[in-house]
Amino acid sequence: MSVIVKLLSKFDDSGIRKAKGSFSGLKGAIGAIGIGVGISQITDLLLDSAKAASGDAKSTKLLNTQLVRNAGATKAQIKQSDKFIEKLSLQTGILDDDLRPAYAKFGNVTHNVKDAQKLLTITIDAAAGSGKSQTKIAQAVAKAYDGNTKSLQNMFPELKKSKDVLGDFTTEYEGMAAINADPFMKFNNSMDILKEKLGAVILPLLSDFVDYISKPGGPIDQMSAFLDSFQDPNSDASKMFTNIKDAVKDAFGHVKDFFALFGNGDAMKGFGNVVKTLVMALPALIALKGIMVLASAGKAVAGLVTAMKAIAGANAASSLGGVAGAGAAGISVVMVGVAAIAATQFAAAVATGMADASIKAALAAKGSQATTTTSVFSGSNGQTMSIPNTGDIHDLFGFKAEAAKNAKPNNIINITVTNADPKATVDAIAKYVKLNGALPSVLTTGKYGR
Amino acid sequence: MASDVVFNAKALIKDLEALKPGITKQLKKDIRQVVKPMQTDIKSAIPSVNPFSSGVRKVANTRGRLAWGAGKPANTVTISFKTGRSRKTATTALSALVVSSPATALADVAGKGSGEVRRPVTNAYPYKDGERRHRTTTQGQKMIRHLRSKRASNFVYPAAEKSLSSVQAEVKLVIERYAAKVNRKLN
Repeated sequence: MSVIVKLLSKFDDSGIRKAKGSFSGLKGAIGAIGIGVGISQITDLLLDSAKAASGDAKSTKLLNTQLVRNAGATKAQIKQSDKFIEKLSLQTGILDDDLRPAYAKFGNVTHNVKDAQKLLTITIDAAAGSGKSQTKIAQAVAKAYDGNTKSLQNMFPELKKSKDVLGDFTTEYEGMAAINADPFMKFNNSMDILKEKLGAVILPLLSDFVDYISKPGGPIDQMSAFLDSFQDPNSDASKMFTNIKDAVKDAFGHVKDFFALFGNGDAMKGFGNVVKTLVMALPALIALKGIMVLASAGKAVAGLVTAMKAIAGANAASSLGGVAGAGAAGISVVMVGVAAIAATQFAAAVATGMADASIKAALAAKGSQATTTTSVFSGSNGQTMSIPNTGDIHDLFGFKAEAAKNAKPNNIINITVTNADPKATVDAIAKYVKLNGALPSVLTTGKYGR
Repeated sequence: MASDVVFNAKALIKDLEALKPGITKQLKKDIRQVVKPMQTDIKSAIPSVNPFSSGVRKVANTRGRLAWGAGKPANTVTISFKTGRSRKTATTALSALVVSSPATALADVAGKGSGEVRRPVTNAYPYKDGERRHRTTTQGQKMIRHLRSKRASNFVYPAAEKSLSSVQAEVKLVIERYAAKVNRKLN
């Protein structure tokens, strides 16, 4: 506790600016870590308010200093002056920062706070009523107060014959500012004044808050320590993130393995193949559904790969040892899959109402071939469909198909449909070709021919 | 107590130092010289005898941190010159006279309030294993009455006000004189 007699004061708002800067940083940090929009909006308002209050405090301080020095204003008069400016600003919609310089000027001229207020009111009213510059009117009014009315009379010729220039001037324009006030500006001013008042409350709180968060061992120190702990591989935080990273890596590895099955060991290529095939052969979604059922049974992407391996059969499984192990055998499996997708369509056609065994002639007429061999599967009405079973055979999607491991260009797959309507089968193939332009590309590039 | 406001005081000192290293020391000396009479006035206005003491009975603690003259002489008045900023307020004292003895400061401001007890019973506060509250004593009121009867309070400002306006003007002149040196150099 001490008694302080101030001799000279200094104005330095860098401390407040720094506090505001810290608060901006906090706002940025809050934004960065994604904490709600609401906080961001609140900090915007608080910062605006603090800024307004800081500017207002500076402007008020300047005015008050001049009033004390030039008009000998007492503490009570200073307080009343602040209220007067606020009231005038609210009534007229003119910013308080624009009123203060004129007020200070009148204080300097009149050496009397009351007269200064009176002259300021006249000036504001005349400016609003005549549309002339407030600054120029203020200069003329100040001169008129000192007895030199020439400027004022030149600006307002109707005063030339007046015996009481200032009195008549006041009477003519009294209350004009309030009448002509722009409601929108009045509203804006009210909001600004409110903000300044809020800011005056916020500034010290802001300062305390910054002190709190920046004190040794405070929240900023704690957050720094937490972030630093990531650099220590033995810390719990670091271990947790390592575990997450490993889990993501594993999952991604399984997904990569899965798609590599379809792309000769290249996951991206495999993904492209699968997407292309799925788009071209919508019925394959039925098969995909089967895969997903199996995958869900495994409850993981790893289960999906296992399921694929299981579907491909024991022999294939041995040749599908992940990305590294995928080679020519991998290609053959993919081909089987694609062929089987096409076969799925045929089978669907067969299973839905065919009666004739041979479709060969009809297919030939359409530019396709169909010959009977093996691997029969049946429809619910006794229909059957055979797909040749020569060489490597893999059971995929529930259908038997010929592997193309050793297939040559223009190799032909012969499909036999028995007890089915050959026309329906041919139509199904023809419709597929019409809709999709061709059979799946892998079929037309020589692995499987028509 | 209105005092003039200096803007960019810190920058001024920085520029002065850049202009002539060590010149700030001279500036402080000049201010001290101007303020010295007022400092002496205040020192002499501070009671030389403990105003809290009473021939009849004790009216306040005479020991501890708030004892008269404890830690530093009761009439310690220092001249302060600070260019540092404040986090809480934009306008702060650049130069001031500080009466820093706690007992002196206490005696100076004591008795300015009504002395009315705001809370006859205190709020609950932790005590041993539980809480307790106690009634507010009348010691403070007695102390104020005693200080008033001896007219022992409110001595710093009356002493300062004798020469405050002239000293303020002189201090400002000193600052302006040094600011002019920087301005001359800049121009």
